[in-house]
Amino acid sequence: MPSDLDKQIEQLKRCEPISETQVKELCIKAREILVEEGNVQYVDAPVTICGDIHGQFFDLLELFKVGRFCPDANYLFMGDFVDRGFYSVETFLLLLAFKVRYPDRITLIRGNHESRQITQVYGFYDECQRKYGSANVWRYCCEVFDYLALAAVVDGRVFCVHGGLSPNVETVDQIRAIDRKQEVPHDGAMCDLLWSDPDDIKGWGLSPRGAGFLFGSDIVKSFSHTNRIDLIARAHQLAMEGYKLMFDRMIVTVWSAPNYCYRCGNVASILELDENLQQEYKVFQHAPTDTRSIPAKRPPPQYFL
Amino acid sequence: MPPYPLSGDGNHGDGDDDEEAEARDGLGNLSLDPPLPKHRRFLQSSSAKAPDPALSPLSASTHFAQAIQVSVPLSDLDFRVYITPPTVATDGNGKYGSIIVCHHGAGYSALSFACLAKEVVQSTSGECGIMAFDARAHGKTTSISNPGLDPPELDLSLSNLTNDFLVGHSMGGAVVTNASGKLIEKGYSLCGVAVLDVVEGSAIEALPHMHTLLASRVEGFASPEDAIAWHTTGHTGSTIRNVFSARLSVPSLIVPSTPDEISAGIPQWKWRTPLKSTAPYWESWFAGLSKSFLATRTARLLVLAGTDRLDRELMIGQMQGKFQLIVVPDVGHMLHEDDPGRIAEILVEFWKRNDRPILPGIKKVGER
Repeated sequence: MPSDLDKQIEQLKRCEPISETQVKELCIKAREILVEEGNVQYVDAPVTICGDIHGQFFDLLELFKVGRFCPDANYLFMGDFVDRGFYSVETFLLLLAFKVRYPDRITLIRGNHESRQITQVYGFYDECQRKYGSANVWRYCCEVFDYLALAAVVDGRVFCVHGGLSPNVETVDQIRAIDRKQEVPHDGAMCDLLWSDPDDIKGWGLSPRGAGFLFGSDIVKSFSHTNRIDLIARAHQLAMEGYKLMFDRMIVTVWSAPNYCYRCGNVASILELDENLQQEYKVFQHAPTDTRSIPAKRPPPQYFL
Repeated sequence: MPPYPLSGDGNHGDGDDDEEAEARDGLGNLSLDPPLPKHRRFLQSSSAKAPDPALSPLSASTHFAQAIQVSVPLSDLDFRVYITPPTVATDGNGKYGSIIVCHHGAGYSALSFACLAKEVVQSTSGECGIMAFDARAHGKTTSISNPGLDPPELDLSLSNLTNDFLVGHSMGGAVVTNASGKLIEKGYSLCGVAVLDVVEGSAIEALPHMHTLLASRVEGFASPEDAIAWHTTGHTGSTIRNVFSARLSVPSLIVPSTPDEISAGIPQWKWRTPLKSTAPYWESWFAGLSKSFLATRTARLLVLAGTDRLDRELMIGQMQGKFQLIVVPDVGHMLHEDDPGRIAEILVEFWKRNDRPILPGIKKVGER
């Protein structure tokens, strides 16, 4: 006899939203689990590491086809579940339902889009309004966002974070000291972890994004040395080939949203780490075009350019 | 935003000559009001209703410190420039100042930045100056050899419009993007470029509709008040949602019609800029904009009104972290007029972040 939660998972797998009351309950249970997690979650290999999803539900199903469904594989998602795609609600709720059903088989860490401010601009807020007729579901989800871990370490050797490093963070222990249960701040360590990017510079640079920093190979080398890390896995940047290794393979960007925003023409990937932390990148394409996923034609502007 | 020299000879244009010319012309006293029509009697006979005093034109004299004419003989243009220079700031190495240079869009004018200018200066206590000017065939910029007339061939190709700028609205965004690359090549220090509400993909897509749009636009107005009413009453997307700003900016979009035109049935006031005749340049304004914006070696900011509508190139660029995107809700295309406070806040924050990094040893955007 399947439990209510199993029924909800089956429903969400068909891309059918669950009721507002069910969302509320799910979010409360998820928070109870997440509150027990540290800012830096410890994860055991083998594990499959995934990057940005951005509400591309049917592409998430492709990802699970390539990597097997939860709980058959152990997953680590590095944030940016919502915004831009058309199914942020179903995407985030399915991952959250997995988290509640199989807490030890899936780890969710926070991306810069798991924020009240960003989701009000890039689609998740509007999608909740449209699908539920109110902002309640958005509000429940945002409360969960505040509890998501900021980083993870696999077998003590692979450091996983959504964006990257921070000039305010030299050791993984310093991340543990952050009070994470808040909206993503505009600056400081927590912001940088979610916003920064590696770049071909020496040292630190201002990020062109307007938040976070750019960091060079010297910074990655010193962080990895200090914390005895072999690899930094992060997401946050679109990699046309699905993933991008940099700095003598000390850091990798994993991107899991194929044909991003239904028009960027990129492939996606997941990173499978086996029990010896050997890396295998599995590249996948976007789901066959769903008519619902074709961006709507905008009416021409009524002003002179 | 090039550092603004404060040594006294830092006028944009020909320095002392301009100041003298300015004194002669009395422009130092800010003749910011629109010229009065010379043929009032036509208005009386043709206009049914009296102009609404609540929509009367306003002077921008409290929004910019100076209005000057800057003569550029090479282009045969006498530019109208509005400027509030920055107050002195010290950074340990001596005095310097920053200035935001604004380029308006096609068919608009420098005074569309009037409200924004005041907000920027106030919120930085004058530390950040601001300048805006009327592009050729716009506002009070005229031909030197043919005063009162535009140059015979109205060359509005991008290379003829560029100068040192930072903030560009609409088509002006294409100008500043184009200019910033050239300025950096020439060794100018630009701390950033900001583009207001224009995206290559959607602009190119919209171009075929521009003819219809211009054809359906009114030919002229009975009075400046009538023009202000037309711009603020919500029947077009170019609506200015801030009546106060429209009273400052709209008068510079119109000029009195000639007696011949009036006898031919054209209203008392006609459009300053013959936009229809700029059609051959439209595509060249926007083609390649996304690419050159992403390639500019300075901090890049794109501010969009209402909705996130990036083209493919910008979408990839944004997701690779190449520029800052801010989407401002509840404003129209004239976002800097609709909500000057919010746009000033965005620009000032961008300027502060990129002009003076908080932590020592942090490279600026574009530095290797």
